[in-house]
Amino acid sequence: MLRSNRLIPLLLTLLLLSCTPAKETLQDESRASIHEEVAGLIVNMPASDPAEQTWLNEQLLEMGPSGIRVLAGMLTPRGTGDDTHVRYALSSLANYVSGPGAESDRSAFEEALLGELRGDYSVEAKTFLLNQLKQTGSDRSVELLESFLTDNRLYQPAIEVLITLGTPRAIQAIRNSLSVSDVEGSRRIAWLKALGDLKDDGAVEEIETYASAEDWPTRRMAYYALSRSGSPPADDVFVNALESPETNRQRQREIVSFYLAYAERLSEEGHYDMSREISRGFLSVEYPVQVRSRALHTLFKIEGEKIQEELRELTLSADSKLAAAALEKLNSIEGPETTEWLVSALNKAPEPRKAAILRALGTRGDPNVADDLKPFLNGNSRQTRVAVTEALVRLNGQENLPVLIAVLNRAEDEGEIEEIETVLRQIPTRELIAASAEALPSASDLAKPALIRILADRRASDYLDVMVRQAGSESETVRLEVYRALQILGGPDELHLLASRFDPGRSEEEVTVIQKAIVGIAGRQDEASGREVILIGVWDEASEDQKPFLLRIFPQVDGPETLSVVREALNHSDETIRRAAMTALSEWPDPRALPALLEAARVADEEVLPDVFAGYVRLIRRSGHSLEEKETNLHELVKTADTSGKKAVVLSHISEAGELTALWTVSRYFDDEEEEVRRAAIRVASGLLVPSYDPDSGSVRLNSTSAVLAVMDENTRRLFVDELDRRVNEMAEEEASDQHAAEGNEEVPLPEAVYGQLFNGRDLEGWEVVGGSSEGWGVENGILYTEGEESGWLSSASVYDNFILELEYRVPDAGNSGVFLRAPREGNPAYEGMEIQILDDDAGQYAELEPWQYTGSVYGVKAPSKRVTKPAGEWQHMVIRADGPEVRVALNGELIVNTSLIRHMELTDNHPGLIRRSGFIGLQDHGDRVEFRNIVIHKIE
Amino acid sequence: MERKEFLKKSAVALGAFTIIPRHVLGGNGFTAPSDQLTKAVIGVGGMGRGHLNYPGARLVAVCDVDTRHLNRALSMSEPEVRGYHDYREVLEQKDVDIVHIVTPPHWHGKMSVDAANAGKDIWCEKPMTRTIAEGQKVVDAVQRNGSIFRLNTWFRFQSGFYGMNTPVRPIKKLVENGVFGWPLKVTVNASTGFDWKFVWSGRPNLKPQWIPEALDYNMWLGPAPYKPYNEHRVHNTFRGYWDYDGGGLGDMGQHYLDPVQYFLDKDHTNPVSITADAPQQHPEAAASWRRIEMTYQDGCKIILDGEDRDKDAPYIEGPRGKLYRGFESDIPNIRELAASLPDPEPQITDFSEAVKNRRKFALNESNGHRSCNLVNLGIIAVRLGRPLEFDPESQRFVNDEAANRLINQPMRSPWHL
Repeated sequence: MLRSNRLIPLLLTLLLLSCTPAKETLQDESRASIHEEVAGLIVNMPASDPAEQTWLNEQLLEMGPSGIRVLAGMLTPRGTGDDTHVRYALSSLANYVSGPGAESDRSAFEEALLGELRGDYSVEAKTFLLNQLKQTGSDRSVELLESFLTDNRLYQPAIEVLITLGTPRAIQAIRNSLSVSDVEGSRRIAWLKALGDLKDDGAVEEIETYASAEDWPTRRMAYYALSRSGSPPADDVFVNALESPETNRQRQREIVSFYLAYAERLSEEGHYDMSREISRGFLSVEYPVQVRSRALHTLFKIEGEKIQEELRELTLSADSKLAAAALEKLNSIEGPETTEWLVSALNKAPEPRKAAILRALGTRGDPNVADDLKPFLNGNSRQTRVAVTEALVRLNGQENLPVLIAVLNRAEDEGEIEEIETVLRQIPTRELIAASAEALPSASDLAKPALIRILADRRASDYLDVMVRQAGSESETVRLEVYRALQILGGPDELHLLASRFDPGRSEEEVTVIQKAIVGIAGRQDEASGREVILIGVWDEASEDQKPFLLRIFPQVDGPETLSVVREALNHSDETIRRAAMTALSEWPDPRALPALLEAARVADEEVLPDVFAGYVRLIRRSGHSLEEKETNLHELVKTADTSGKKAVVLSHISEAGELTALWTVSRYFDDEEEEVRRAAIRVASGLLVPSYDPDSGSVRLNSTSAVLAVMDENTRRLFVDELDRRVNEMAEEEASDQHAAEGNEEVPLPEAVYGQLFNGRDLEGWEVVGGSSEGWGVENGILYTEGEESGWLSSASVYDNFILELEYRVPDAGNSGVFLRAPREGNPAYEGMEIQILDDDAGQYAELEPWQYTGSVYGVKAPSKRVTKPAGEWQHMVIRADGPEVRVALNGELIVNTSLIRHMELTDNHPGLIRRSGFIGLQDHGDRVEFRNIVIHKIE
Repeated sequence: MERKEFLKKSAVALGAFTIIPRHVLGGNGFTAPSDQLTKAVIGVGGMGRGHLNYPGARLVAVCDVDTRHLNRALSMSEPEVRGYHDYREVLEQKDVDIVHIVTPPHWHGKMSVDAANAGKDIWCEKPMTRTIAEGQKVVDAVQRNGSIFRLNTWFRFQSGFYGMNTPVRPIKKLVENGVFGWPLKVTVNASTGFDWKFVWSGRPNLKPQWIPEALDYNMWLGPAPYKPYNEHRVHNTFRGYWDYDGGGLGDMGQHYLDPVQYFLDKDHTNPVSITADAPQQHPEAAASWRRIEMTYQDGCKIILDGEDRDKDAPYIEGPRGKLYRGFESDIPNIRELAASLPDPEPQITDFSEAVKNRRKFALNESNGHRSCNLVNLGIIAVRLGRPLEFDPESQRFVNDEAANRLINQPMRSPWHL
């Protein structure tokens, strides 16, 4: 214990010291001066406009290759500095030299990039440079790119450049790499994919060998590459694959899809016979529809009208998808033969197919078939009726207009009417309106609204009387459409008719539409006063029953004349008229109505009163009056109230007058004689002040409105603060209950981690064996050991996230073990979590390992900076520090790993443990006797 | 063995694996299904959660590579909805008719092609694809497999059109009937909402961070190049990075440009020249730009005025008239005129109907690809900082091989199309 307590500060010091990066020194004087010049230029990037950018690019290019070299040298790995200007500059140059007419600059730039790519840069910097080659690279880059193809970290960007180049040399480079053996799968997969992308047919034999690879991803990519090759010999591979199908449905489907793609490519390459044969095979009924549909497509591309018979048959097939695909192709075959067949097919086709065939005939444009199609206008199915109308409109719509319009009479519902109407609306206006007007009187009640709509929308004023005659229809839908037509086309002559339609028996909708029609007609008068005159003319002639309906229109035709009519109506003997006048006033858009509204407020009953108050306050708010004027106006409104109850209602409306106005106005009533009024005033004021109220200090934060507080006496202020507190508490409670609801979904917390000794020296208390037998693990003489019987791994009881783990271990000759960090208990802990390697590094059999496989490495991720293991059989001391993404390993007193997992995030695909935040600590049984002691875990605060 | 023989054999073998979309299994084999379509949503971040409730099909599965997103979506869904991590598993589900692809754009191409090959119908978020070539491959795969594809922007068939107070239809009518003459210049400026583009700027020099445990970052990246993780790259801010999207142009561009392609009748083609005025762009982080001009073969032009320099420019300007925001015009009675003109060809705007009747949706793989090309052309011009000439037929740049290298960018292994 003592030792470990002293060790931690020491270790941390060590860690800190080794973190300091070594500064690179510029040895070359001229390089230093170029560096200065480059830095001076790129600081201006991003350039604000193309001209400036061009100038900067030219300056940089004038420096020659050394300028680019210096630029590349200024790249810093992501997260370690700010090289934004450098990246702007390099990509800007890449774009610039890639443009037409910059060929010589481009080769110089490319050469410079290649030079730097051979140099000593971080993977990330090289990736960035490779990406610049996508724009600027040529065959000159291929040799270097090929050398990157086996590089585990650079093969991906390198192959992307090669694909982008796509030249024969680039393809050859990828083919060459295929013969490299002993390569981990994902690189080979990338090469196969690249050859596929590039439609290469020069390595088919080589690729075929991978079509029988053991792993599916490789096999799959081989199929892809073969399908893209379009090369006849590849056929056998697909035949074999289909002979012994994959057991997995998805894989089998993919192979079929690749085979179809192969057939498509074969035909592109001119191997029509093979393509035809494969496609025909897949066209057979046993296959799923999309397979057949795809095969048909390929076959048709090769055969064209030669497969007419098949197309005809499939057009009538039961499957709608296949039938649609076949019909589309059939319809692309020109000539009367197909037209005739389509007409004849109409009779044998199943009902849903008829619509599609009719439309197809429409698009063929042969007007001679029109007569053959007409009988279908009487068809039983709605789809057929709509489709044949569509077809006939296309063929010779104007000639057939009367029969087409008559289809409306056969429609089943408004949906069908709408569809047919949309089709008819393509017909030129003059013909369409003449025919519609003619059809209107004898049309069905379902069809009439559509005809009226067409006439109105097309502005058929000449036929207004035909429409107006329908105003007496029994059908409300028809009448509504007439009113709507009048709204668009009507004149003063129709006003009387409209007004006469107002009666209490009408539906609300009908009344509204009539009102809109009157407003529409009035609105078309040239002068504003003309609108008023027209409306008042109607008013004067209207009966008392009709007047309330008219009054509702007055606010939309506002002016001095209409206002005075409404004001007079306030005193009308009829109550309904009085009320309608009040409602009209409350909707008035102009502040000139304020006096009339005050008058209304005095006489209104409780039902209309709130509308009147609201209308008044709304006009005040919108008026350009000064604060004082508004306040005076509002007080006048309060004065109209003859009871404290009414006053309270007025006050509650005043909050809508705008914050400041409302506060000033209601503050006058804080000390009103009536308690009800005082309370209402305080309620309004506190409602307005809640947003700026601070419950802790019991005060309102200062702003222009808080001056209101100054006018309160002590008593009022207390009432006021109580009210504010109540509101704030209400709001807080609501918020709390929301939060509570949200927290309800939280997961059960993990058992609390135990720190200190993880191994008690006596038994395996606190450990569990996971993923195998517990045979091999045991304890003797204060030593925890595994016999190396390939048993499960030993897992801590609790889960740890950030910690320092200290332990001693001893391995035999060629021994192998490891410490797992943040591991789950499912899956391979070395990858689902992380493993810090323990190995007898010096054993001969391990001489050829990758650097990231030796002791202390984060296995597969980060190699130790040096090898400091003691000989096999000696106790060795390991300290592992895992703090968030920062991982450090010290072995025998030397820091050998100091990395951030963030730098290795590109590995997460195969190594998801690199992003795990927490998990179990574990010890590995790798088949050798390995011993551990003094296992201690410390918390990182 | 002869091929014909094997094909027969393998068909039988494959029988066990046959995947028949539910919607083709009508009762008597001929009737369209009356039962409801089903869907899965791939990518259930903020945008994907919206898709859960899109009407028309019943949700049966959700998929995300971030378990936080996945769990949240599952908690919002009916208990029988299944959760998946890998979209390829979703594509294997027989009871899924439609897949909604609501991932960042760098996945759209790959997932759309895979979904089409699996016999699914597709509802894909905008922008359609991150490169022009990926778009071409989606068009090809969707058409070969006979899938129905819908791109998720809608201004060519519904909703008030930017600053116009009207859907696009009356504009289409006016344009189609030659009211403004020809060619037309269309200016989309910042005051019509285009300053959205400034929202999605990336950050240069991001520090690498430890990947959150809940996120499968490698799968999130998928075909995109590997870059060290930083939270700003993913989720709500991914649009600021060229690897995944194209800044504000990627996010909003197709919304604005698709209806223009539609009313200019350019659904089958694209501009032939593109120029951009922008500050120098970072190799990874997208930044703002000032102006992009695209010109079609016939002289029609689209101006994306990011800085409102042409604040008062008409939305549409032709030799015979102009149309301004608010549907104002120098042509008298323009609204009445628009009303009196015949309507354009009807569009299929109900995706479920399109799927059931196997008809092309209004905004589908073909015209969607063409309007997405505008986005990608703009992005390439902004990034390269030079004027570009484009051949809409071959969909390649003219005399600029380096620009052509951006048309088909290689996917990271093992992903491919």
